[in-house]
Amino acid sequence: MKLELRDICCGYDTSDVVQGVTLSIGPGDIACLLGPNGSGKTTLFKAMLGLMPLHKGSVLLDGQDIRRWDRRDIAQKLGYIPQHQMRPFPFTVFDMVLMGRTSHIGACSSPGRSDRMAAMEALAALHMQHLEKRIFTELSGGERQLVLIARALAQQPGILIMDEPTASLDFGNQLLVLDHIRELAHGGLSVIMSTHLPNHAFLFGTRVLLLKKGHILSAGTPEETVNRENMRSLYNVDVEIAQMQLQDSREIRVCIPLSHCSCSQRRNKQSQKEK
Amino acid sequence: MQQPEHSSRMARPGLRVIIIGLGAAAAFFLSLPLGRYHIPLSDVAAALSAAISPGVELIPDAVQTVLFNIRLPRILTGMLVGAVLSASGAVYQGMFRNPLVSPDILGASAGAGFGAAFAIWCSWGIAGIQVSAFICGLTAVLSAWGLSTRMRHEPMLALVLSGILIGTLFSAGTAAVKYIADPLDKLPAITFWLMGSLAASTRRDALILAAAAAAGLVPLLALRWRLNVLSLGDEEAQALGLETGKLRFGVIICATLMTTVSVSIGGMIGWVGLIVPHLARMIVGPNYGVLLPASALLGGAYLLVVDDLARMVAAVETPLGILTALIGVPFFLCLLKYNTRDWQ
Repeated sequence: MKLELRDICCGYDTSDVVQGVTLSIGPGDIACLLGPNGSGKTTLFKAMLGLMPLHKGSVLLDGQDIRRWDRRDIAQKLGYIPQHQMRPFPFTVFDMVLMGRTSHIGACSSPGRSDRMAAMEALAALHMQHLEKRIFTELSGGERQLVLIARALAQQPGILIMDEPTASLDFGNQLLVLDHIRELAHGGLSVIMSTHLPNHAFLFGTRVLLLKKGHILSAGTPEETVNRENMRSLYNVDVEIAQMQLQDSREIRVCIPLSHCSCSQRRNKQSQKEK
Repeated sequence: MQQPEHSSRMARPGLRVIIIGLGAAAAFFLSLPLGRYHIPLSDVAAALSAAISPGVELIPDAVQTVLFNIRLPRILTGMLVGAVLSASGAVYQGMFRNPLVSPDILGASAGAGFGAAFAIWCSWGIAGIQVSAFICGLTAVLSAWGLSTRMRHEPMLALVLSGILIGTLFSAGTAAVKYIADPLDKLPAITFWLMGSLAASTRRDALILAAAAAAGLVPLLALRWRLNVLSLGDEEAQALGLETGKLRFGVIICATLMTTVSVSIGGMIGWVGLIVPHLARMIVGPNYGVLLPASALLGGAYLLVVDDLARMVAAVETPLGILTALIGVPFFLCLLKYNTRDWQ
């Protein structure tokens, strides 16, 4: 499935948080959205999902404008994994995943056998059947993120939208979640996710979008976009991009932060004084 | 293989609902002989079977009158009041994603109380009391909700705060009505009614409540799955395919209708709608397919037992509202102490 944004502007009230964003994502893509806090990443996702009225522009799914679609139709095409948030009620993992079936169920009915099967399949796709009866709120952060991904899979969408899927996860769990995401993309799903780590883009991304103050600063392959100038412009950080060869002879790039620009300036001044 | 303490907690929720239902039925039958006029259980059984299939058995008229005109309506009214308050409490808690709200805290009870007091003061009939209580109760919930969305505050706290604010306004209104009411006849009527009592329950009360419970519970039960999704919050529910605006409004109407009818018949009976849903959630889990029936049955049984106490503990009837508060506050403190984990 193909998702296109054409010159969209949107935001709260009348001010535009996202300004003139155009992009397109096709099947198998893992698009990584990088941008500082407050650059409009979550707003952009909400705009894609139709959760927020557009001031300008349009969102197209396989060429069709979703403006007049109802929530149900959108949910059957787009799966959303929101950022970590408070959940007051202790649902079981299975019930959480089953909620992904909501857009496939009639208004006054409950999930049936085929829905239960789909939920089990979604859990199985992430190798999580053994968690079925556990309480969602009692799981670890990584497990919770995987359950939410399973819920989005049960929705059977063509596109997954993930808002910082690795935030607040430890090193191992980040990799666990990202590996699963890559596997899903190999299966033909399109994925767009926001992240704060440029290395995630090198390791897992097929495309990178840099968002700065609601504008697209740059878009393209990880190699084209994640470079010194862009990282400096985006985060005000000096980085070095190193190329290295892995043991399996794969070539890979890594982004190594050197220092924050304002700090390095201060340091430079100090060293000048000392001279 | 797996940690059993995790899976056992929600094991077989359907069976648990049935057990709660049996408990409620037991409370119903055991309450029939209780009261100042003691009727042996055998007489109760005889009278009930005679009522179903008129037979040869002779039951004293006094037993018939006490049982069918006084005790049965009171028991049914008590169970229904407890059931609808608990069910709407469970619904409000999910709807606002807030385990701390209840019909009383959202201002629904205070609004309905004001509406009913005003109607009593105006000498409107029973229908007038119902309509006035419903309109004021709905106004209170909707304004508390509207106010909370405009407060720049942590949403859980904002809703509780705005509910308390709106409730205070309506309580002030009730106080004003009491102040200007005729101290010889209207004022005592309003005061006793506000304290909450089922002593004067009639068959008509039980019927009105049953109709309100059906009107509220049937749509809510039909929407049970959507209630689960709605309790995840607006954005998540929309992303999962729900049109949340209309749904939430309809659900609030159903819950508020039940609450206000109950307030206009049984008076302000606090705390039931807050603690019973918690208890039910601890027993069967948060899935509305089982939580809603469990809350209703548990609430019915709970209020019936409390009303039995109100009839029995002292020589004079104790107002129900006093007892539910006396039981509810320490119970709620225990919940806060031991159950906060689920609210993270």
